Amino acid sequence: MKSAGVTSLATAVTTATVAQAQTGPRLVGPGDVPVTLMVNGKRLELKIEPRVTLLDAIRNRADLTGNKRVCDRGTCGACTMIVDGRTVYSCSTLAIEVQGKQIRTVDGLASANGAMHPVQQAFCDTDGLMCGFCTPGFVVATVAVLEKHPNATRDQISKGLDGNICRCGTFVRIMEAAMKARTVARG
Amino acid sequence: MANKYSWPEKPALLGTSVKRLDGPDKVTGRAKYTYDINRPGMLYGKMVRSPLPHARVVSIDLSAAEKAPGVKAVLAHVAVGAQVMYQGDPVAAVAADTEERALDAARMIRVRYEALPHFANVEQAMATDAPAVFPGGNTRQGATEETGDLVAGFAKAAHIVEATYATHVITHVCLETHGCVCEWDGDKLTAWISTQAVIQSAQQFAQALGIPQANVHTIMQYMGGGFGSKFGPDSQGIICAKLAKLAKAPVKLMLDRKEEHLDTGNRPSATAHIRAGITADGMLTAFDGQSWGTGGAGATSGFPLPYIYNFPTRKRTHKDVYINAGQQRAMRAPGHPQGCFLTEILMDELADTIKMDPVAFRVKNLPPAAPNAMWAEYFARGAKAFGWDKRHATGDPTPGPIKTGMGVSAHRWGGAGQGSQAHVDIMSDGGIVVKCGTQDIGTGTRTIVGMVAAETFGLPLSAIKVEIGDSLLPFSGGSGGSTTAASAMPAIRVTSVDALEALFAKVAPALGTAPENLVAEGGRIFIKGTPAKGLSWKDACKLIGTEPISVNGKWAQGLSGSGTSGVQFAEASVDIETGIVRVTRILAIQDCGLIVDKLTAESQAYGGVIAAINFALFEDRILDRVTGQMVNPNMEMYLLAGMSDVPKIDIMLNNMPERGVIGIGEPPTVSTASAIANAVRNATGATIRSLPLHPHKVLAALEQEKAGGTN
Amino acid sequence: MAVIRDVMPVFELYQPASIDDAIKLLDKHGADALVLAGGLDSMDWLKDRLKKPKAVVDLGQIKELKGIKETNGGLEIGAMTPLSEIVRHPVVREKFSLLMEAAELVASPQIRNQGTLGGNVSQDTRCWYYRGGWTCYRAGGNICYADTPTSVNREHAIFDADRCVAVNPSDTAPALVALDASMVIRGPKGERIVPAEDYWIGPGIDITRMNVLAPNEILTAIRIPPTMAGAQFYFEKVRDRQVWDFALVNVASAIVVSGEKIVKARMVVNAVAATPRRLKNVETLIIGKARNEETADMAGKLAVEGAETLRHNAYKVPLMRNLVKRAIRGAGATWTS
Repeated sequence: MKSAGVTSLATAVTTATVAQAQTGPRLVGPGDVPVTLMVNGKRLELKIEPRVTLLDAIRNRADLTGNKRVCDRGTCGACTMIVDGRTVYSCSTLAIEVQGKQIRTVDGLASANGAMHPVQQAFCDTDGLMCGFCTPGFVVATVAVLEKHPNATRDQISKGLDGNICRCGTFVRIMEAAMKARTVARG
Repeated sequence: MANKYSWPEKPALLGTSVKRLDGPDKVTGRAKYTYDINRPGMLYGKMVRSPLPHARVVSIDLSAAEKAPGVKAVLAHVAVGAQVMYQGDPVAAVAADTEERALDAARMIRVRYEALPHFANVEQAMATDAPAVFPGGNTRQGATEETGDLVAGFAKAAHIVEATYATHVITHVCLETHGCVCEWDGDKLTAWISTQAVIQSAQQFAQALGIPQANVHTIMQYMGGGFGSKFGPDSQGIICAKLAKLAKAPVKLMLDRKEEHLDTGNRPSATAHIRAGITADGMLTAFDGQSWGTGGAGATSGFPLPYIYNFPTRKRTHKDVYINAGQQRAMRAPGHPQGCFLTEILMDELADTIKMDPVAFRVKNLPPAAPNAMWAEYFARGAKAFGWDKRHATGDPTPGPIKTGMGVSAHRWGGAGQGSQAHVDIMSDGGIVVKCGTQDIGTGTRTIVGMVAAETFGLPLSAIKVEIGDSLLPFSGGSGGSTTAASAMPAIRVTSVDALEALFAKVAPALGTAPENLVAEGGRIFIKGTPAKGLSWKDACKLIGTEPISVNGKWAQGLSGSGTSGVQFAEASVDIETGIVRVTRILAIQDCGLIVDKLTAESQAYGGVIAAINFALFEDRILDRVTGQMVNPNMEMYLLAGMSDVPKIDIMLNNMPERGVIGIGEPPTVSTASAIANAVRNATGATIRSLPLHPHKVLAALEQEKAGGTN
Repeated sequence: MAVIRDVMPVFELYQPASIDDAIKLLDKHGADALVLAGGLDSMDWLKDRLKKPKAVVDLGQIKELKGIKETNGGLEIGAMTPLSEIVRHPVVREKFSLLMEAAELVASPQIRNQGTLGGNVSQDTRCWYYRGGWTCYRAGGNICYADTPTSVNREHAIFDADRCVAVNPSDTAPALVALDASMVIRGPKGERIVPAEDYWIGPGIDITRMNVLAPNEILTAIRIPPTMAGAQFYFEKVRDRQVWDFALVNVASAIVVSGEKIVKARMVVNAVAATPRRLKNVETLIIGKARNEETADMAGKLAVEGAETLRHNAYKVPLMRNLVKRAIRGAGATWTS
């Protein structure tokens, strides 16, 4: 799998390349290009290379570090975000692919006056966390499950959270938090 | 003997369930971990590591990397001619202005290796014709431990079981990888570091870099898991500091997932060939075990054996075997999960020779009961709660492919603590600051520090400002060995009591009494017995004046203890057509002395149990036998349980306030894997004597059992 | 051996809006291009820096490739349709629930939201030597690292090894074969239809590819005819954990019973060879027989005839045999937690 042009492409990165409008398929990059993301209801204007993942764009370029990088391969769920209503692994999504979509992260769940989202409050109440590194991913995944199934059964919660890993072993209390959050009215 | 520092007889907070102080910061994403720290002008560091399990470094050429775009520093970590001893052994590093450029530049560092013979497993290292890979020998035989007359012991035995038992290597898989952000100001270093030992890390930075300890400031407010592997800067931290010095800019160096698997420690393997005997009425008589294990390249692998039970005559030898793999580091209850497994399956096999109930058999052979040896009581309590009387003999007779079984196991742990210091300030506006150089690694330390102070002052937890996780704070040791609560809580208690006494001295004249007549309860300070004669905390503090009450204190005897015991029951279902094991129930009975925060203590217990379920069923550090390379250095093929893998878990914590504070981080993880393995044996009738219990192993054992037995 | 890096190498990104534009790009760039669908397979290669394409062609903007259409009693599923959409679709659930069961067991909820049916069936094998960047036959080299007496090969093939012993890891693939699906492929020369069974190729035909797609072709849709609609379906996936994992072995079957006898049958097993394995001999054997334990037993034994095991994957023989048995026993005899 050898590609001849890596070094030349690497030096090309130093000059920003703006996408040219063409007839036919649009070429983007390889240098920085403008990318606009709608994150937690706010417009984020970035200039990044096409290869930057949604996770890295949001963490490194927008300093929304609530979202964690753990495995970077779509195998642990710590980077879970909600894009157009569906959970995705932001480490396995190019930022440029989700332009024009509504992106929600853990950083935007609290309400404008600072009150925690009911799911976040429930996690605190039942102690569904320990070191906290997997917690943002689990919180977002739980929000997604309960928005889809407001009266979720244990089985539905389990299946909805099967895309997240915790090493400290907080699963039992995460389940309690999810069950508890079902009964809280959402404003 | 009770004194002014003693824990209250009827605490308001201690032993209750109190929510974690840092819960809100963690669930909102506000908490900043080392991985999240961004400093002005910060560079990104990346390391180059040996791709070979054993080699001599022939040359290192940094020149291309030095000229690469965005690169500000490059260094070699080893000298030409040095030997690298495992895949992942650090060789060089680079710092550049973006992560991408650092990666591109790292690939331009040209290292030439001369491959040398290597060992990918213990069999290769122990072979009689094995080449001399490790100086001083590929193995190290330990001293023989011997008690009593073994020959006589076996002569007394009516039944003997002889078999080989084994546990495997697993890695810590901290979700936040190891790493730090280093920033120099002249010859002063500030390091944000993902660590279990913030003060020790500062000391190690100073020593390795040849600078005064007073010049190093380490910070860790939040860290994403350590489990025993994060007790210092390691190679990556020192390299990070050196890159920052060379580049004259802050550098962030966080390991990636593969590096994390290869070079941040592991639990060593353990294998034992054991011969043991019992009398016809179920008394153990003799134990003869030869064990070995690998902790990787030149590292140890010891563990206690036999574990818990009374073998009146015993002999045990252990051999450390070195292979070319990453070196072991303490992992949650080092040695005990291994010793437990290697003993507990044997116990069920012995019990079966006389068809004795496994719990009754264990109770018969326990050391005498004591506050740190409560197994007999826990077995009785647990058996009742678990429904042990419904357990069938080995081999579920229920027709159909699903077989169910129960198993049990016992464990112990130490967990003493000492040597912590603390500082308490009480301000004239009623504010309280508690400072201690301990750290919260997810255990809830931040919360229990606050709770002990709040309890002492008769205030809610919200009244206390807790400062931890900083090397400039009063000394406290690293969080390991389940010693943090037992070290720090007495220090907080002593310091808080002393601070309260100083406050009483200021308040007593205003209430027309002597300081020793005052108490602090329910947010007020009042004369003992006459609550009306007092002041609110806030009003009382107004009497402090401009100079705050500022007290240093340290750990004292009598507030903490050592030695815990526990017992666990497991129920598992095995699908004998597919080999899939599903754990359905776990009951864990555990003590830890005086429980400070019941909520976080229980979470520790759940966490330990789930860690052991992973050890029993899923995770496995797998090396290719020929090349010595890890085939699963990721989270795709290195398996950790998800929500649907987690069974019903019941925790019974036994609060023993009279014993003082003892730790709980480690003991709950010791027994679970053994209880599960015994449950699988009870279910299937086939004995699997090694972990993990993957479907392919279960199917193989079932085939073997059909063909003539595994017993 | 490559040391894994976490950040992808530089590439040019193309986001064509039509199938024809995508094909033009692939035709132009040839081996220098990588197709990006859901990203769960491609990004691993890119991040490990084992594939460094000059051009990445993102199919995500092509509307024609998404969506499920009803067609004369059957279905046409756009190749870029996410798996979670397939699981939810009422006609899939009502008439072709075998596909729903298979899709539902793929990986994790997030991956089912991002991952596409086309991607799932076309995905590359997960042999850890190959994925680790070892230059084996499949990677263009001259050796198989998994097929030696000492390799760690417990995930690998028990049938049809031909220098390479890797397996096909897809869950939806065997279900589609059992449903008599066909694959719609488009290239510079136009469209061609390939029966699902013939979509995947073994190492004997082309050791570097998992399926018949040429570098300048795109899988555009999967068509399911009405032939097996409403049959008695059985799907089971056996994996180490109850989450994520690829199958150790999986089975997809569709059986039609009339009176007491089986009159039509499809039996497909995956993760035992480089392609999904349709057990035509088992299908023939069970026609005319009752759906009972005796038939199940015979079928299971026949299913594993000819298996050739490696040092660490002998367990796949009883496992495959038992899954075929359970497929014939039918739903209700499986593990339930």
